[in-house]
Amino acid sequence: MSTNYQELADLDLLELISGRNRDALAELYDRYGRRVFALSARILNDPVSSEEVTQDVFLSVWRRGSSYSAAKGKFTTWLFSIAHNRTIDELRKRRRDRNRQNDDIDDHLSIESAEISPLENAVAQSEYAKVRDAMADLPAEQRQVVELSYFKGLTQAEIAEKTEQPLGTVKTRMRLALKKLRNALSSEISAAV
Amino acid sequence: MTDPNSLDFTVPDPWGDLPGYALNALSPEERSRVDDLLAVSPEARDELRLLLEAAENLSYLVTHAEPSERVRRLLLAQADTDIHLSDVAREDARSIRPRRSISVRSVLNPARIAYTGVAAALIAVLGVAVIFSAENSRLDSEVGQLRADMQTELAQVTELRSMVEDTNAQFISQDEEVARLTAVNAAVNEALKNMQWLTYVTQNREFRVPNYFVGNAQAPEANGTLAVKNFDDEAVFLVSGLPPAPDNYQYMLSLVRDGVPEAVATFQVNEAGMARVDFKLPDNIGQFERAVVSLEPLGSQFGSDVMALSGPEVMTASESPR
Repeated sequence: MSTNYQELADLDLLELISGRNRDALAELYDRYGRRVFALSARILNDPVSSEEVTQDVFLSVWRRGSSYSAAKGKFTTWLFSIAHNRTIDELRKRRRDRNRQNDDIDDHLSIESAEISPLENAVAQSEYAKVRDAMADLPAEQRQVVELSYFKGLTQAEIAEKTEQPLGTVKTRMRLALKKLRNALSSEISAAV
Repeated sequence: MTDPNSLDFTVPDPWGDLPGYALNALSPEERSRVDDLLAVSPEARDELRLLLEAAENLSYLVTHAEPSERVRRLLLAQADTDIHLSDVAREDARSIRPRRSISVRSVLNPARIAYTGVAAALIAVLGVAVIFSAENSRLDSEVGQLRADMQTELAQVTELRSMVEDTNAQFISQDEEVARLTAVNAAVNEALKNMQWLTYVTQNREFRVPNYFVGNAQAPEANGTLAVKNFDDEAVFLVSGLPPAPDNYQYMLSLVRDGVPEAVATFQVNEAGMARVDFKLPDNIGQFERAVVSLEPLGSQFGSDVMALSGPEVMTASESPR
């Protein structure tokens, strides 16, 4: 009997991937590939490099999926942690190579929106709205350190220099922002899109 | 109560760096210290897990975007290659079997040496032959398998290379298209400037337009205008709709007097088929009976020398525009 991979949970797919099941990998990619690509593209603003990052992320899952443990947290947290790590590495490498800074904080991505199903779109819009509202509720200085670090790839020391604030202030703002985000969203965000 | 902002953060504080760790906002040194903390502290790991879940939510704040189908195809091709290589490695490991150990004590037993000497020699000869034969057969089989594996991998490499080449070709094709459009854009801009200039010329009392040019069968879309400055020898010829001259050829504008052409200018057209040619009028302009544009080999002279046109005429003067 053939397996309907679309009905399998993320962890079931991951177990199959550990056993070298490429169809499980394909399903996982179909499930999260767009979101990983969109995150990377938002940060790098470069579709070609973002595609390379996306491929690297899923190759990591393919080759090191067995290193994931549910005790460490949700699967998506692990996946997007890899994606963000890899993207920021690429961003910093570029900065070193080109010795230049990115544009202002409020720039926006010039990549066309994807064709997604109405259901996916509704879910994505819903999650987007929740996170956007939670971010909007943060004090401006806390929101700024989150944006500068997560989307601009600045280190906390660089943020302290850019905002002319003590390093301790930056660390405190990061902690408060993440805790508030988590409290605001923990009961609302579901694991899968 | 201590104000957290007043704390001395120059002292390494791996616990305080956990939010920065979750946001990838640490230097390599800070990150290394947090890794050390995580290795020994379950509380730190729990704290980090919560911070990472909060950070993951930020990934919802991006516009949805679609990677190209190529990403999925390359990913699965890489997975297929991994599967194939691990199969090959497993087969290799299976083919290397441990040898049975030999008992030294039994070999050195003097009582057995006399009885087994001759037999051992015979068996050794036969054994060597059998072993060589079996070994040859096994090696043949392994070589055949390796050859088949190499062919399979070669096919996969060829397929991957083909995909990469396709991608490169697309980029090159796009680059060429961009370069072509840039050239056309520049040519159109130039043409617009020329047309503005022509409007100025035709509306300026200092200039007059004695001739318009039309293309013949070889350049049916071509149009041209000849404007000259009153009481002066300055002239300009504006042309559009001419196809680019073939390699090693150029266009030549000539004035004809008593049936003999006198070349006054040579020119090439741009990407949009347009050209503006400034030249000096020859003396006694009133004696010329007609003007003509012809296609001539590169290097053809113009100026005071009188010459016969060798190439085909592509445009001739007309009293009115087409």
